[in-house]
Amino acid sequence: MTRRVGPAQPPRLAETFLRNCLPNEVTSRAILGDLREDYLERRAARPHWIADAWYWGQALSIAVRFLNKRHGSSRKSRTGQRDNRSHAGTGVRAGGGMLIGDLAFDLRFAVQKLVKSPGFTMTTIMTLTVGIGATVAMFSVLDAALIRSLPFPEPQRLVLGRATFDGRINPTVSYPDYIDFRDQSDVFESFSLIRSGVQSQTITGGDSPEPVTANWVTVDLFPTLGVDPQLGRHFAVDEAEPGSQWVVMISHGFWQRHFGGSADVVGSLLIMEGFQHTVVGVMPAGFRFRYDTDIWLPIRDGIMDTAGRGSNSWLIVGRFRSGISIDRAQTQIDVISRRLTQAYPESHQGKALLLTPLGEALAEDYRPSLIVLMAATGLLLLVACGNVAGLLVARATTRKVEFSVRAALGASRRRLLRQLFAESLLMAAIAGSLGVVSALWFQRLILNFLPLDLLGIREVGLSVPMLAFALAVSAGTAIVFGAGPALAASQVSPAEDLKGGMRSSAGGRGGRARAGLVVLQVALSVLLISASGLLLRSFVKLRSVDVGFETENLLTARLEIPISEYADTDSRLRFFRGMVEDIRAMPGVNAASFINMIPIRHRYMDWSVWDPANPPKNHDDRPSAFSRTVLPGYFETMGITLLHGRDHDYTDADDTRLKIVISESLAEALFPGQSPLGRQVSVFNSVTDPMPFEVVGVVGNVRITSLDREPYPQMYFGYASSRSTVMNLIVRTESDPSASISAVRGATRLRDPDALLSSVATMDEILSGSISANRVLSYTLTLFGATAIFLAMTGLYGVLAFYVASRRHEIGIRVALGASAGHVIRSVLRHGMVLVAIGLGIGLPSALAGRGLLRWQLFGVESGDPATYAAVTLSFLLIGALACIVPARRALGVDPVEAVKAE
Amino acid sequence: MPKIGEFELLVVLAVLRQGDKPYANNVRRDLVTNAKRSVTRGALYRTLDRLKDKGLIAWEMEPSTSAERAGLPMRRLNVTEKGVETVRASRAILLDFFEGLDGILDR
Repeated sequence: MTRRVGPAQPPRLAETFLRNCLPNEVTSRAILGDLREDYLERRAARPHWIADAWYWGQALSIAVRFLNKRHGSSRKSRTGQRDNRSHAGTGVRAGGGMLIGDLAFDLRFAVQKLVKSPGFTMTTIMTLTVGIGATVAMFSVLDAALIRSLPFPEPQRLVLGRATFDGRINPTVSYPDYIDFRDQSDVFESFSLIRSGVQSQTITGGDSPEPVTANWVTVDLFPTLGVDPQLGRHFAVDEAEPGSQWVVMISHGFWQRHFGGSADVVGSLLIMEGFQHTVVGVMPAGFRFRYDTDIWLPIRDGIMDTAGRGSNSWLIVGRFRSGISIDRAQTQIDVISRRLTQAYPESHQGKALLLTPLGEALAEDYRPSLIVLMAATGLLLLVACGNVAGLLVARATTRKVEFSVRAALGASRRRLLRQLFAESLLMAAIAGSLGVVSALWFQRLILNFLPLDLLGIREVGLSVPMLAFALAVSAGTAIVFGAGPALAASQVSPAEDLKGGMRSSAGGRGGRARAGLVVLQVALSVLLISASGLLLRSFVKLRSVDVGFETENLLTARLEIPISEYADTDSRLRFFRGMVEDIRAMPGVNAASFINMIPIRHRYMDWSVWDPANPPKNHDDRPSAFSRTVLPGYFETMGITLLHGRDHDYTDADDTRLKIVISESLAEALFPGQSPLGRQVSVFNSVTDPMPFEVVGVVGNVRITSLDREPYPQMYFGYASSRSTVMNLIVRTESDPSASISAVRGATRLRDPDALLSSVATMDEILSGSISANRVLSYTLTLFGATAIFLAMTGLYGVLAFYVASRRHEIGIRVALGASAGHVIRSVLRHGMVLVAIGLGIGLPSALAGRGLLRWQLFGVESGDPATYAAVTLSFLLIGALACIVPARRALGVDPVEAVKAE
Repeated sequence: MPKIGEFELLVVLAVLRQGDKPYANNVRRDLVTNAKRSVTRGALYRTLDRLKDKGLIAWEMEPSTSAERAGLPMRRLNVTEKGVETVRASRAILLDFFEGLDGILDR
């Protein structure tokens, strides 16, 4: 937003507007002076936009008062009454004020006209309302997500630092890299770190264990963002040092939930994962950064993946020193990246750090979807405009006699044009106002589907840019749909039109204009339908992608047991094993087991792994794989193929050598061309020393992070290596898995009433949740496309119905002369299908030209996919033919005698 | 004697009440604060025009001295003899009508 300099001034546009509306030059200056005085008083006490809004309100209300007065007097003179206050007498100036007065008259007349044909008015306004509402809602979401700045002070100085490999973003960096970047650069005021993704932790000590989400940050993250705690203080620098007291900062929501909003929460103790933590601060309500987090902990040197350059778990957030440009910072960071590549060639080959303005980076995931949706709503609005323009042309045809009479009585073409335009403007204004109301509803719909709360956007609501946009769109719409028909309709030749009545105008300009509008609508619909076709195909592909396990009839749930009751590994394993046995014995259950992190739902957690016979040359330079802890029977339950060797076994715990099952891709990476069975691997979890494991089995690859990402190498440990009190239950059922939920709950309660079962979901729910954005995009576009087709086809139907009606005479004569039914139908069909074909001829190449916009949204489908375009063409020809059939049948029903007699 | 409405009467009285500062902004402020009326500017300016047409008030322009008006002139309002006469007549009618109502109004 531009800021004004110099002494405060009322909005200039409002001043000019008012000056033009006031009748008397001299008093108008005095009135402007009065207003200015009050305006400045308000400016001193309130934000300028409130004062500006006040000024506009005053200017409009004064203008209305004076225009009413003038209009009243000019109407009197029109109706022949004596007018004491003639324009000259009171010094009324012609020009702007006069124009507005006439516009008010035109608008009043337009209201009368529109009220007289309610069907037409309602159809037009509803069509436009949908178009404008959807466009305004989409714009407001786009504005909130991509344009409005972050809720942090001086957001332009904030950047997100993400790792790239050969230019491709793979966002997380390692802790040692962060330290190097921090210590070797001087462009940042502060340089912080946040762990990528939250972790589930458990708070104990209360009546029952409470699951929370926790995240680790450097002590300076919140000062970097510029957000202060609502209560208490920030983390202190020494709280990052090993051996210091364990402290946490908590979210506003958690403060309310756990502490009931107690004012003396600072200094309270929380027992998390069995460790005592002191609360030092509460973040303000609404504060959210990247993840829904209850508790933030300071990163301590030496724990939590802070060692090893292969352990990429962190995201960098930096704030530039003032005056530093992003280019300058990037240049310096690039120098450090090259230094790191030289020092650690194996892990840093092609690796760099990309700085992106924070707002831009956060919105990146949504940008393509939002832009596609915005383009689609814009197209839909254009189709709606085309449709309404068609209706207006048709209506103008029927009003030909009215215009001719008015022209004959002396109305100029300009006068008629202005009248028609006032009608369009009025309808657009009503549709615009209704559009804003419906936009609020559309917004909720959009936000329900697009999880923009990751950007901190939970509600958009009304905003000044949104209202301004609505105003612009409504005005633009009025011009787009109103101008053409108004120009056409105002071209009257009274003598001709009055003599010929309806017939002379039937197939003329109006008919051609409507045909042109149908072509436009078909072309735009083709664009929308091609896009939705591609997205739907992509969505189907995504839905049917081989994830590496059988997704149907699979129930999952998080199960947590209290540490206090299960102090040692044996008792925990006994509990989980017992649960597996209980559930397996339930009717309708085929298999059950446990894993610590469920594919697709829980991502990341990669550890370094290597073949000790072929160790990485550099200590920091190790390949990595996702690590998961499973109980025996996991692969069988999930339906993951066991390729070689065997599954984990409960007796493995007795063996001193730890066992591991690895994925096919990891086996190929570590032991190319050899059997991995019986081989040793070294695993480093960044906390303890590297540990040796013996490979006992190889299983198929599984997509762990998302459906559209290729499987990443994985390794599966037995329970002994994690000993967690939180595991995720997996149950394979014979039929609908949700039918077993209550039985599983019962079994859990029976085994231990203190065990906490939560996050119950079927695997299908997890998978469809993970692609909800794709679903939204494809479904929304399909809905838009269908609406556009419907509008285009009603337009086509209208044109053909009119074509048939205006040719009744001709058709009657043809039939009388012996034309066959087939001939009549063919002639109508030909007329309609030519329009569809021209529409396709314009729409298909445009769709192909604009397909680049969709490239990033597609999975497994080329943006130029010939099958999709062929299907679009075929369906348009079919639907077009359907729209032609009713008018064609009507043509068949023409009675030659009647038709000829009627003329 | 021209007819005068209640709001018009209040405006004329307010002009009279302003002493040596009979300007539109002061009149409006007086009406809002002391007469407890919500007065839009449009309504006030239209009423001033109407009162002038009836010959009850008049105004003359005077150059502004304050920087806030950025050189825009001020309207010094004054009530004409006819205006004062009309107000006087209105007062007489009102007082007549109030006569003998103390028992009801002071209850």
